[in-house]
Order: sequence, then C-alpha cells, then structure tokens
Amino acid sequence: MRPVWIALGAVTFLGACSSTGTSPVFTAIKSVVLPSKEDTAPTGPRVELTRERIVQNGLAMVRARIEGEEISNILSATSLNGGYVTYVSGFRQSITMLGTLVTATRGLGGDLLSVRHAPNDPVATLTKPADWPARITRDYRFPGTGPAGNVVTVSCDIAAAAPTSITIVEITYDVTPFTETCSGDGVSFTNTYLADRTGQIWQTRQWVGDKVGYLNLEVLEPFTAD
Amino acid sequence: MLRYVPLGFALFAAGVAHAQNASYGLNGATGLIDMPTAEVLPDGETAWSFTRTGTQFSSTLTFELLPNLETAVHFTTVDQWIGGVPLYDSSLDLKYRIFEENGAFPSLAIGFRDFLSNGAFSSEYIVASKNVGAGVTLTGGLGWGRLGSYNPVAAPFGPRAPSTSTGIDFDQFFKGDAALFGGIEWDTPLRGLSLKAEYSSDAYTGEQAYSGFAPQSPFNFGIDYAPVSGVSLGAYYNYGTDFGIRLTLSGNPNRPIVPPDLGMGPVPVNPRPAGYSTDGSWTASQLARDSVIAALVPVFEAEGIVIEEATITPDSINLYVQNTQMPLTTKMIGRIARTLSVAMPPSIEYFRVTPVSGGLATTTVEIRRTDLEAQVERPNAGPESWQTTRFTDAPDTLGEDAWKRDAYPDFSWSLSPQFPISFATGGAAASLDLVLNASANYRISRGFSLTGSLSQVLYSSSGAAPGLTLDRLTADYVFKLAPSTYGRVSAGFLDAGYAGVDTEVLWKPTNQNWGLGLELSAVQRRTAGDMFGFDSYQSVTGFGSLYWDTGFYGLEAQVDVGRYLAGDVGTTLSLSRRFDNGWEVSGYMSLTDMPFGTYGPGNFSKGVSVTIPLRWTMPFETRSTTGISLSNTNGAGGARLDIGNRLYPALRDYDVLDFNETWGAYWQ
Repeated sequence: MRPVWIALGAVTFLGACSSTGTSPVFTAIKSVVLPSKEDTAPTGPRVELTRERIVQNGLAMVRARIEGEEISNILSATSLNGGYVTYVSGFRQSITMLGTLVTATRGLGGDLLSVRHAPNDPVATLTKPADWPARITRDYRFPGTGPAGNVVTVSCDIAAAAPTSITIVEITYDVTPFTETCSGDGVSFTNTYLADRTGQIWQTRQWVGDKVGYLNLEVLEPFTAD
Repeated sequence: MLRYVPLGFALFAAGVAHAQNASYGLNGATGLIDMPTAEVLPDGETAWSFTRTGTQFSSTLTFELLPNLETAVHFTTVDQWIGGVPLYDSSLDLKYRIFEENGAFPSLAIGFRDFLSNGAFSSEYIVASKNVGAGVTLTGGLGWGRLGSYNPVAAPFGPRAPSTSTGIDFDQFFKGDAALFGGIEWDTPLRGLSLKAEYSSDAYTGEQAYSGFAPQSPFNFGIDYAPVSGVSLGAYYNYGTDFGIRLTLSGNPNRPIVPPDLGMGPVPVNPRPAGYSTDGSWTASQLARDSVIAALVPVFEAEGIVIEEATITPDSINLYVQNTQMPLTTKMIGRIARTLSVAMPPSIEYFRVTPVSGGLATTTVEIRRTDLEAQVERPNAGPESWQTTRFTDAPDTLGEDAWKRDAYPDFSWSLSPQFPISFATGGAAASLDLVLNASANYRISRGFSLTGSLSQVLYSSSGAAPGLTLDRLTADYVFKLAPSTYGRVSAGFLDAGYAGVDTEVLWKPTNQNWGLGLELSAVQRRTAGDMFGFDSYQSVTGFGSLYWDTGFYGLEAQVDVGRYLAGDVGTTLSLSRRFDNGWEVSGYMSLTDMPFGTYGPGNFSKGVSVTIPLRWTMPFETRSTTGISLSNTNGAGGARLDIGNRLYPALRDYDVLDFNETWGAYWQ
C-alpha cells in the first residue's frame, strides 16, 4: 500500500520554527507556509465532518482520496492564480484545480505539474450537462528531463449515463454521471464526473498520472470568485 | 587489488525494486548461459552479478548505457592459467540491439566481448532471438574469437592473429574461425522461474591448456529464478562436468523504490494585489533588512536550506544558500522563490538565489516576481519560467555589508560502517571486512576548513589484523579567482598513500557545457601501516583536464592528461551517465607510457562505479548517496591521488545545462 498523506517532516518543520515565531514577517510567513496545529498530527479522536463545520470554515474545500487508499483528506483553498485554485492539506500536500479539473498535485508521490485543457473542456469550465461535448483533448505534464518535462496528450470520449443522486456531507445533489474515456501517448484511463444541472461537478474520479493513479474527489464547498 | 568501496545496502535496496525480469547469463550480461542472446536491458538498468564456476570467479557490472546499447564490465579470476597461476582479467563487453523483435521478425544484436583487448575472452558475435509463444524464446547466432572456437564452420573474413591481450585490435574483429551457437529459454508458468539449455561454441581452449579442464559436452543447462523483481539467481550444469552459480542484483534509476515527490508540497503562491506599493524605502533601515532575513532563516532551515549571505535592496533580495536536503537544486530554488513571494514586501521584484556548494558560490539564478506570479500553475509554466529566468556566474561573496551567517566555526562529523570486499588477487584470499569510518569537518569560514577521516578494520574474514588507517587529514581552502574561475588548495595527508600539497584551478562558466582544470601536487609517499610515517619516495604530479557535459542522455566525459604518481605520463578518459535523480554509472581507463610489463594487471587502469541517491530508496528528502566502485589498482601505472574534494564534482550540478535538465523540479 502506498503511504500517502504522510505527516513526515511536519513535526520537524514545526519544531524548527517554533522558537522564533515573534517576528511579524515570520508570523505572516507562518500563517501561509506552516500548517496550523489543528491541521496536523491529530492527537485526539477524529472530529466528524459536518456541514456546519464546512460553512464555519468559510473556505472552498475538497475531500480527496487516492484510489486504493483507505484514508481521505480534506484540503482547503489557499491560493488563486488565474482561475487555478490550489487546495492544501494539513501536511502541505496540495491539489490545484481549474473548475473541477485537477491540473496539478504536489507531494502525493508523483507530481502532476500542469494540465492544458481545451476551451470546451466541461470539467475546467462550468458547462450544463446538455452542453458537454462528446470529445475533448488534454495535455498532462509530468516531471522529466528539461523545462518542458514529459507531456502526455490524450483524446477523451465523453458519455453520459442516467441521472442519479448523491449525498455529500448532509446535502443531496441530483447529478448526471459522465464517463470520460481517454487515451494517447501510451496511456489510457477513465475519469468519471457527477455534475448537477448547472454543470457543477460534486464528485469525480480523475487520473493524475501513472505513479499516483486516480484521485477520488468530493467538492465540499465549491470555490467562488467572491 | 580489486575491491568494492563502500558496499552500502543501496544495491540490495536496488535489488528489491520492481525491476523487469531480464535474463542474465553466467557472465552477468544478458544471455543464455555462456552464450549471448539478442536481448538487452531496459534503458538505465544497472545490474551487479557475482558468479562462480569450477574454473573462475567473476563480478560484473552490467549497464544499459543508452537505449539498445548494453555494456558489461567483468572482473574475472580464472583459477589456473598460464604456468598454473591465476589469471586476473578485467574486460568490457558491448552489445547493440539492431532490431527489436517485431511480429515475425526476431530481434537482432551484434556484440563484442573483451572489447578493449585481443585477450583471453575476446570474441564477437551476431545473434537473433525470437519469442515463439508459451514463454519460449529461441536464440541462434554466429560467433568469432572465443565464441568461434568449438566446431567452427568457416573463417569467412580471413585468419585471426593470436591473442595478445595488449590492447585494442580492431583489425581482428570478426576474423578467424566462426562457429554456430544457439539455445532455448522457457519462462515457466511458475512466477520468476525459467529453464535454459544451450549449445556452446566456446571450446574453453585456455582452460583446457592451462588447468587440465576437460569439457565433455557442448551442451549447458540452467535454471534461473527471480524470487523478487530485481534479484536473480542462477544455477547451471555446464560442459557435462561442471556446475556454476550466479547472483544478480539490479535496479533502474527510472524506477525508484519509493514514490518520488512524496512529502510536503511547495508553498502556494498568491499574486500581489492590484496597485501594490512599490515603495522600497523600508530597505534603507539595516534593522528592517536584518529582521526580514532573520525571519527567513528558520523557515528555510525547516527545508534544509541554510542562508549563508543575504542582501536586500529596494527592489531585490539576494541570497547565498546551502542546500542540505533536496536532491535537486532547481527544486530548492523554486521553493525559495515561492516562499519569498509570500514573505517579501511587494516592492521586492527580483529574487536572486545563489547555491553554495563546498563553500563556493556557484550560479546566481534571478527570478522576476511578476513572472513567477504570471506563470505559477499555468499549463506552460515550465518552459516559460525557463525563458524568463537569468543565470550568471556568481561573485565569491555578496560583499562586506551583506548579512552573513553567524555560524563559524562549524563542526560536523559522521560515523559509518562499510563492508569492503577484497577479491582473491595476488595470492591473497578473498575476504569480507567490516570497517568503521569516522569523518570530521571543522569549518572555520565558508571557504576554509579542516577535514579528517579514519578507518578502523573491525573484522576481516581473511584473518588480517585489524588496523587503524588515516585516510585523510587536510586543511582545505576554496575560493574564486573570478566569477567563473574556482580555486582550491589542500595540504596535509591527502589520501591513504600520500601526503603533501595539492592545488587546483577550474574555469567553468555557468553558461558553458565544458570546463578546463589544472591540478598540481607535490607529495611524499606514506609508509604502509604507519599512520604518520613516510618513506623516501617523492613525486610531483600535474594534470590538465577537460570536462564536457554532452547534454546527450546525461553523458559526461572527462579527459585528464598529465604526469601520474609513478612519474608515468599519460591520459585518463572517464565517461559517466548521470540521471536527473542523481543515479550515476561511470567508468574510466588510463593509459600511460609505462611499459605493460611493469604497469600491473590489465596493462592499463580501469574502473567502474555506481552511485545511488538514497532519495531513490527513502521516502524523505536527502542528498546523501551510496554506491559501489570496482577498479584494478594493483599496478603503479596510472595511479593518481585520491582527492576527496576536487572542484568539478562539487560544482557540476550548478551550471545552466544541469539546471535546464532538472528545471521541471523548479515548480515542485
């Protein structure tokens, strides 16, 4: 089993910094750089996630799990760059998303550097189910020799299934399941998306590279520009 | 003496990696038993084999130097050779796969054994292999030289001169008798188990003549078993009279044992708000500048980054940093830039980061903050950031007014067990030793340090008396003569054999993929067994060196020309392939004007080594490495000082070409 969402280094990181936390600059850095005590190394019983807690948090949040692993983790939106939202866990592992398209991962055991999407990509841009295209293309970029790294270009066929409903932390959504079958450059994978009538995807399974495989994501609180 | 130093556990760790099951022959290269196949290893695959037969013992490093090009370096001891004494032979094999198996067509390869000399094992071959289904692979080929010595069918390209073992003789390739060989391998349904049988075209002429060895049959049979991927065992019944065994450990730099990139991710970057202040007047205050830097110190230290020097101007911050943890410097640079984008007031537009290696400032990397904010998370961030980043040779220091790390003198030490293996050479028995190595470094300033290293043999299977060896006790000063010119002076006990003074200058502009070095030393030989004793032998040695990073599949070449310790004059050619993650497989050969008769075994020095980064095996960031090296150093010819802190190895990871190759890590 692949060890993921590890706490490795977090204790050292905190320890090294805890003795010099008085400078304003340091405090400013720490608020962004360092995970808060509540986010790291749980010492008590696991706190049950409720809708009330999500709302109180006030941040866009996702729950993520690497397929094949038992433990999921909650990541909160931390930065916004040109529409790309980076969600960070308590152990500073991160997932970056454009819309609901995972465009980057860090620290999970095989980084996805970036993703180039087509203008009509319904996962990256909010698109009503009726308007989802039948076919799209994407470029996935992974670490490799040179600044460009290894680029994997895939073509994906999208198909819808019968509407259903799902419940995510006390809220039930009526969704249309979409299956996206992709192949190209020696890889093939199948992503799934559950989108409501506005096109908001609430649950998804996405391929993020050979090393990590699939990420299962639930959108607990979607990112909004405001 | 042929030996491994140091034998860490990394190769074993490499062995348990999920390597593909290549089929190794009894000589450690891909093949049937004694005969080759057209199979080659996956690119970068590295395997170390130990084999024993009734007539010889050998250790082989097999490495896929380039796709389809397999190299194998053998260090072989034949128990009885001319005059009944052992033959110690080191040899290089090359095999190139011309065609990969495709449909009805078999794979086809051409190969050369003992490529560098017309010696005891010299042979050439053309071989084809075809998988015919049900796990069965058939192989057939035509061999020359030693592989054409049993039941030859013709000599299509004329006669072959007698073997001389004195050098490369291209004229003899594919000359002389040619003989057919072939075999079958069945990859059984039992996972990891395969069976082999072959018809050998090797008459074992030398063994018959010198040791009374009498093969009864040209047919050999074998069982290969891979209990886990990367570990292969073989047992063979050969010549109708003899048994042989083989152990192979293998790994591949492209298949790390632990997932890469596991751990903490980088700091998320948020762009500065619109209309941010560009007022940098706060930097006029020394107190403000020092406070900012002091706040950065623990943040960076948490990721193993040590700030050596720093300056802040109204629009820039300049940092000289040591990377103690991250295997890739570009990753460190990216993480520093991200952290600075969070920490620095908006007026700071330029981040200049200069990695310090071995006390020397290397290349200054200038990142424009506006570019960073515009590129982060975007699809083309890698190539675009490379285009907008500037690289220049760094001055030795940021100046007298710079903030400087208040940490000198700095003392560090290490204690590590080693397990050297000595081969049966020169009449000595093979032995496995347990050696404890203690090293200490007392750094008085960034460029000036004292270093000592002691080894204590705790146990020797050969019964050799335990002894304490002073491997090194030196005062070292490193400096920059100019932004692209580095210097070093070392004095003291330079290595286990010599003491004296060693000086070096290296010219290596960061934007250039080659450099020139000059090294001069005056030394006196130390007395074996006496830690501080000397004998009367003195020597002056000097070398001019050319370093060339080819940029092709990570291949780097080095040519040294000069005067060696024994006074012989000659050349050393070194070639290495370095992978982005730090794996390195390298080899060298030296040829001097010393007559072959007095040179020592092999007539010229040669050696190979494998360096494995521990990050490849460990789930945390570390720059530590381990590895294995093997060389023949019996003779005096081609001997050089074993200097532990030569300039180029300390600096080669810090030029533009190396940064280019690993730039993907900048965003990691």
